[in-house]
Amino acid sequence: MKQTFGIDCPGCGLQRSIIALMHGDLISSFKLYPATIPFLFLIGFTLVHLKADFRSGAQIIKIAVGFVAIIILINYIYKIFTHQLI
Amino acid sequence: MSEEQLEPQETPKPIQPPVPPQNNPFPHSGGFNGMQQNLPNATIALILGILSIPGCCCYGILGLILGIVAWVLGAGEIKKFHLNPNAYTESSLKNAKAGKVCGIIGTVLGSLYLLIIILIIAIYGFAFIQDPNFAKELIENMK
Repeated sequence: MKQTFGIDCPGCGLQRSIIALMHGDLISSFKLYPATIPFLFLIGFTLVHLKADFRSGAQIIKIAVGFVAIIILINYIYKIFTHQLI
Repeated sequence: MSEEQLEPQETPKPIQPPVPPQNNPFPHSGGFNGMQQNLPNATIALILGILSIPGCCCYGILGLILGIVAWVLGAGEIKKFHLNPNAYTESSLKNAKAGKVCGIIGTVLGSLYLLIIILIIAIYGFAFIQDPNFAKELIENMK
């Protein structure tokens, strides 16, 4: 995305971050994209919730999604101010 | 003094009343518990809503589409539930509501990004998007 369009996007870094995570590198995964680990947790929890149907599962998912969205926003604003976008 | 402070710890905990079984998700529905189904699209709305958050790539369009679909699906399911509250399970209603909220968040993220892109194009023109070197030079000049 970055090379094609010239501008980094809020979702950019996610793939690099997941690849780093698959290599077992938690720290560089977090540096590339801080929301990856919470987001993967969120997906995992959602799948378990859909199978097991927790009582307050939907509520927890809502809060977690808001949390991840805030991390992504903060990360993107931080990138804008540190000129990492281009 | 120390004995008095210790005293409350030694008192036995009050026995909690047994929690009533919560098999019936609709206490007001008069025990109607037989034919309840899950709302058909609640799960899909929830999953789309969650996927719309990292989908704010691709000019924000992918995230926007997923988010709006999740939003509309979730809202539709909630309406369907309220038309006939006894026919569907409450847990799927919660899923539909969560899907709607996730869809709204994804839509907001996607549209914010789209707005940024449109602003950049409006200010600097298409060259900024199409030619990364042009953008780099521009920022170098700003410094």
